Amino acid sequence: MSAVRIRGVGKRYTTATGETVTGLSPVSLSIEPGSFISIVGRSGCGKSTLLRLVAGLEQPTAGAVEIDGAPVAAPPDSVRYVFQNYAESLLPWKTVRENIRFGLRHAYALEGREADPRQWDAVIEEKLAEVGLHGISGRYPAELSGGMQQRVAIARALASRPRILLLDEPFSAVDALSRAKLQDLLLDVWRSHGLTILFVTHDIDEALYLSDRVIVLAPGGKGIEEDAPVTVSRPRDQIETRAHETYLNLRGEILHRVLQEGAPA
Amino acid sequence: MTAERTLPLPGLASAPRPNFAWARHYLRSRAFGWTLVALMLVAWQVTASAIFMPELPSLSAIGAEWVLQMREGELAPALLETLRVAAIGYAIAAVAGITVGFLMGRVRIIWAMAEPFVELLRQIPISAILPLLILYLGVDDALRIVIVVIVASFPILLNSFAGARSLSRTMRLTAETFRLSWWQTQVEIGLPAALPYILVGMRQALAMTLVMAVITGMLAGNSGIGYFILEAQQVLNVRALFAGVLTVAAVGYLLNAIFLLIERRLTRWRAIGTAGD
Ligand SMILES: Nc1ncnc2c1ncn2[C@@H]1O[C@H](COP(=O)(O)OP(=O)(O)OP(=O)(O)O)[C@@H](O)[C@H]1O
Ligand SMILES: [Mg+2]
Repeated sequence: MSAVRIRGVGKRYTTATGETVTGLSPVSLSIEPGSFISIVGRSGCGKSTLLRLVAGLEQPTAGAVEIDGAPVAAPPDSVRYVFQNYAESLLPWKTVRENIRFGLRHAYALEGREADPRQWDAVIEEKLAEVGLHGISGRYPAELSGGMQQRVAIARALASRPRILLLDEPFSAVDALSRAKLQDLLLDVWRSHGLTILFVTHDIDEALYLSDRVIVLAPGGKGIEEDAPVTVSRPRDQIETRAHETYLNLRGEILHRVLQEGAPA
Repeated sequence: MTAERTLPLPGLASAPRPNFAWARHYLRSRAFGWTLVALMLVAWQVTASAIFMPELPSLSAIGAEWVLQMREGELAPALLETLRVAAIGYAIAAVAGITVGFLMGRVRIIWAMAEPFVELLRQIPISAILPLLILYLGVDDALRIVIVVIVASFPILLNSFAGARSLSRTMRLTAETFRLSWWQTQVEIGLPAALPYILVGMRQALAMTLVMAVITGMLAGNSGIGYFILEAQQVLNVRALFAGVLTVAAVGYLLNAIFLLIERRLTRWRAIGTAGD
């Protein structure tokens, strides 16, 4: 059974002035449990819209999303969304520790069970270590760099023990070197937690390096343009994988497709 | 750093420039204003002791009167009475203003229901409904407290409303993706996000509360520090009059200072610059 099944899902928005905007034309996708899927495409092509629909944060105007076979009407327990604008998604009045604790308290896996708050501090440090952060748990989000804030947001999502993680351009605020590190951290987390990940990025290289499958959305919300499996073997390596023949061929193909698209939407 | 600054610049004035950093710092701090206050008080004391004026007693005489009135006179009980009215009124205004304002900002139906009332009522000056209030409530405690509540609740309500509206879309979606219930969303996200606004409203209301608590003591019920001042005027005790007025100023200043301290403590997280900027 697929972890996520997207059946003819589309979204039209009505703006404040009454205009109708196509957020995303109907798309269909089936996502295997435990897979890492990347979604790339130009700005405004509907990547965030697709993620919000999967997260149950918005209702589609066409089709339906199913998670583990059940149609999504409200945000499902097993899905967590890490937002594009992390600066607003961390709770600024809470320290890093309290933000992670927020994730722990709202973990679906703990629901109904009595969680032992004495163990939480240890768990919090463990979650932070998973995203490569140490000794910052007493700070407020405003005292962290953008990339650190985004990592805290990821740690908070992990603390709530989702099975499906949706990441919306999580590394866009990070320099290239830290980015390579974070990509590897994310792959470790993905593997060790057995997560299904939907990862939105502008960066085709990043998408190829991380994923089992890259989905290219056409500009202007026109839907799926390309759905390419990435057959490069795992574990991946920043230097070897990126020099791999299959990787390079795939990269060439996708870039060719995207660039052919003509003028920006 | 200072060494560099005091070096004469070639081609410019040859004499080393004096370092005015301390002066600039002083002129830009509140110590400057406090010095002016102190100078004014000194001028007052000197003038009043040199020239006898019944309408302007010296500060020392006012001080002596203040001690006397606090110890044996009516000032201490009057002050307590005013503070009691202010505290009760302020507490009610805070609870009512935060609850109504916040809910108006978070629940559409409550907004639709309450907005016309709020907009109509806040146009009415308190003096215009005073006769009605006296008619219904008499001239007792109830009247004084209700006046404070009416005046103080509006700034709290309007700011709480603005704070509740300030919740960003991302934050609302964060609450949803973590599957917070409606109640959890309000308590864990809505209220903390609105807190800075609520505190602004509460500070505005605090000043108005004290003013109204003093005035209502003059208007009705003959109580509190307002009545103390009025009575001092009637018996032409100018020293007591000044003692009363200065007490109000000092209490107002003190309350505001305490409030600022609490506010800074509660919103510490906002005082920090973003490291990513
Ligand atoms: N709430 C909304 N109301 C109206 N239109 C919207 C809304 N949200 C998104 N849109 C529109 O839907 C389209 C897709 O937006 P979306 O945010 O999904 O793009 P995106 O691919 O995530 O872009 P970016 O890479 O810039 O984040 C855009 O044209 C956008 O203007
Ligand atoms: Mg987006």
